[in-house]
Amino acid sequence: MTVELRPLNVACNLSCTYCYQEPQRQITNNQSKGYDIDKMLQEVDKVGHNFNVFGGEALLVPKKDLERLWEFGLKKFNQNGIQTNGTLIDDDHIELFKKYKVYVGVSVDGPDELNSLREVRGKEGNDQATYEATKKTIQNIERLKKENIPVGVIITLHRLNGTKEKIPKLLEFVKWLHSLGISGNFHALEVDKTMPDQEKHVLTQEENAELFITLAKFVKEHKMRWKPFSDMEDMLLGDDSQSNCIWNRCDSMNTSAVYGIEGNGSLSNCGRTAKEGIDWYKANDHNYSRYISLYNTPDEMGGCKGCRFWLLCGGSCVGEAIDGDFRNKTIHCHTQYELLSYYEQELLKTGVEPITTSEKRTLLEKISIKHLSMNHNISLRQAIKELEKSKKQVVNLPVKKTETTRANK
Amino acid sequence: MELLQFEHEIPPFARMSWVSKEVKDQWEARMQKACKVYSRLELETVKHGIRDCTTRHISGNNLEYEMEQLAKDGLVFLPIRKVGTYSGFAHKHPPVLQGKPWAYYGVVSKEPEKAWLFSHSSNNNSKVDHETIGQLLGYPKCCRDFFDSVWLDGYIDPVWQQALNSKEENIKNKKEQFIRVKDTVNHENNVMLRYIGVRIVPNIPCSLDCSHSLENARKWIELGKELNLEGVDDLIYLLKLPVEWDCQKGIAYISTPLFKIETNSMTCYPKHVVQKEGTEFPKGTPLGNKFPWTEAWKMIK
Repeated sequence: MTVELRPLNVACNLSCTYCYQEPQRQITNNQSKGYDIDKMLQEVDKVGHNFNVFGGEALLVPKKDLERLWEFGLKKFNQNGIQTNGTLIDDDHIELFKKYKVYVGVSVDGPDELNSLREVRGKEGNDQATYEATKKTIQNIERLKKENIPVGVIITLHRLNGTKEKIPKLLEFVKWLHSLGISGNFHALEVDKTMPDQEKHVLTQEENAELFITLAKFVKEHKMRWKPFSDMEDMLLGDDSQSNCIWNRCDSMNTSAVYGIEGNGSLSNCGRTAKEGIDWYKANDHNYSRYISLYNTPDEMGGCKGCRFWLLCGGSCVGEAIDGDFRNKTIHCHTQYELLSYYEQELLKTGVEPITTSEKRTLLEKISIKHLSMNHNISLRQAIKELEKSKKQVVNLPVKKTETTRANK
Repeated sequence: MELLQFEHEIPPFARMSWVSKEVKDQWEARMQKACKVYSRLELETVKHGIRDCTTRHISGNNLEYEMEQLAKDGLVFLPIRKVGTYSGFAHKHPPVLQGKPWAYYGVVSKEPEKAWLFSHSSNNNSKVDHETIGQLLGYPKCCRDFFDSVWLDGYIDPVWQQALNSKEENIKNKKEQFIRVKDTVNHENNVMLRYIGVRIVPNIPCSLDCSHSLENARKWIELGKELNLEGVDDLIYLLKLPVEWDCQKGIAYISTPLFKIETNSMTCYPKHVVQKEGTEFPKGTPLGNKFPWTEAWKMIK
């Protein structure tokens, strides 16, 4: 679970044409309603979990307030976090990051024109301004590492950084990050009908699949550990203990992966589920009917019936569902399917049978559906344990003997 | 409307999420009162002779106490069968599972013979007599026929069919799987919020403009007001809000300016959408980019 503290809600200094929070910004006019740190920290206290300061752009929060939040975080959890576009980081921030053990997540899509969808708010269409902002972000990433501050990167893939012509430059960037000891998460750009401009930036399903497989090979060749690749390899081996939220059967009314705390202390969900432009107050309970529905719905109707990967992904991220409707599977199904198939083949080549081609898959699906019908979300690992227990024998899970297994990482 | 065959049923559930904390703080208690008043009116309408029977679920542990309470009001409870309990909303009774909680499903009436007739009509081995049951519950004839024609064909949550039956003059826009109903339609016949207990007609009206259901609903409201029951006005207000109901693949999604609901429903595909325009819109609630939250823009402009 990630606790996202959002003092300024979605207010941002950038105007990324593809941002999933844009529907909310259009309605709030990029303005925050202000915040009450005491109320926010009271909620953090109740949750009892370390938090990330989030936005919008989290560094728009005044430094004195950031310090108050992180002082609390350090004292209570001995760690802190922030997700930023990296353009506003200055010397004071660096000091705060060091003093309060802040992990810094940076959202950037590459150097130069690769990052040009991340325009400066108020200077939209001004390429030079975007270029300067990107340069700052890259410099700040380097600086953070020099200062020994832990950094991770989220790269969103689209037409400006993921087409065949751009891939070499993107790979160079990933290599450069690796040389600094930085890895992160690749994210396929989502299409949302509330933002028609997005469509011209999004890669086709086929292009996305090809790009992700190229990246998978690159990451393997250079012994890097980026998501979603590491998740996929681990899950095919029956281990979802470290997997990202998109695989964990998230509930749109009460996102387990993200526990949002807004400026007024109210509880919210992952911003990807706010496509209607409304920051829904978190529901009291969980429900997993979506995943039963998808299991029973044929592929051509937006479901997962008969898919051998349902056990791993369940239909994937609810916030990225087709047409923004939680009853549909992810828009990235094709990409994820191709990528999982690729990893399956890679495992089979090494003589290891992935869980998805094993005869145990059907039994594990039954266990999973049984729990979901009781409104209980069960992880792959838990399902395997239950199967072992019911058979009173150990399920011989595949163990991959290569350099990328978690055990010898 | 085509229904998909699901190997695994979506279990009964209904839950909601508020548009904001402020709205929750302002409305949660009022909504509870609105639900409570309907539940109370279910009994009061029997007690006051507006209809013959109503149904109740009573846990085994509470049976004596509940029967005694009903008896004080001159009502009898006749258990019909044990059913599995659930939280939220169910379109049909879940079976009793070993080791799981259950309750008595039964009939409440002033007259034991009416209760017996209801029970007999429900337990008839050859065929459940829905006509008699509907009559005893005070459902209009047109709505009983509607129920027979849709529910028995598997359309267990026939909001789409209800909208489809409504008069042309009350339909603003109709496409293949989309109906928008004008605000001229009677809000009393709105059953799109019944999953969380907000309703004033006990049956599914055969159309959004069914005059017989409307007549019944008005009697219920009148009785509620006569008895000075708290929550009647809030109940009416909630029914007047613009609302969108949509359904696909076993799950319905209902949106109002104050909250949204998810519940188990029909396995239809593609998605079917019913929008009902509202005559009320709460001030100061968040705006959004689609119906019904866009309706507030009209007020602002």
